[in-house]
Amino acid sequence: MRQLDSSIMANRCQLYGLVTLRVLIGWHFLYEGISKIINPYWSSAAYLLDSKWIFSGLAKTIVSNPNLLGISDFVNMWALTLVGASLLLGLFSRYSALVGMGFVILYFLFAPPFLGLEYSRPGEGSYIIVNKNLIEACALWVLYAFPTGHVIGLDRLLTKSESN
Amino acid sequence: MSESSNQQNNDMKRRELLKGLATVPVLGLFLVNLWQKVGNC
Repeated sequence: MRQLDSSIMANRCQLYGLVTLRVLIGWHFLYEGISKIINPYWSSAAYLLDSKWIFSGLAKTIVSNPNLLGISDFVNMWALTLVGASLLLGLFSRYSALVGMGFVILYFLFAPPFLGLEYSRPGEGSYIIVNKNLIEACALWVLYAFPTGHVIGLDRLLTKSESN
Repeated sequence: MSESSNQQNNDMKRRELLKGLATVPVLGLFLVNLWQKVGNC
């Protein structure tokens, strides 16, 4: 397992900053996932139908096929929940940061805030090229590069039991 | 001598456990809030 630099380990402010970032993103992912699981009417169809740019064709293919749409909904709900729990608890957090980054980049690419692309769904803010998905993906990249689960999190107990 | 090293060993184990489980209460806080939110719907 990749370890943190000793300078970050020694600097409590940097270490706790990274742990806080991990826990907050985990919380966000976990709630995004669970809110979809407990809502029987939730579907990714509306998001996919509003897709623009390079993945709009793929999005329409998914929506037009009930099996693919079911798989897309299932994967979204459970991946977000598991990645969220993993980041929050610090269990396999390095891998979940990578998986989470992949998901958020996909969300970004399915509906990028580029000039000339108009969406029918109202956005939560005003963006040009950079939006919160892109920022969260970069934050997950930082968490992948600087893993903290083995310092504060369940990964610590796993690595200890492996080494014993 | 050995008693103090045993004590030190136990303290280390407890610290390891606390650091490993440090974020579990955050999950508890999450679940309490989720329960309240779902209950209000």
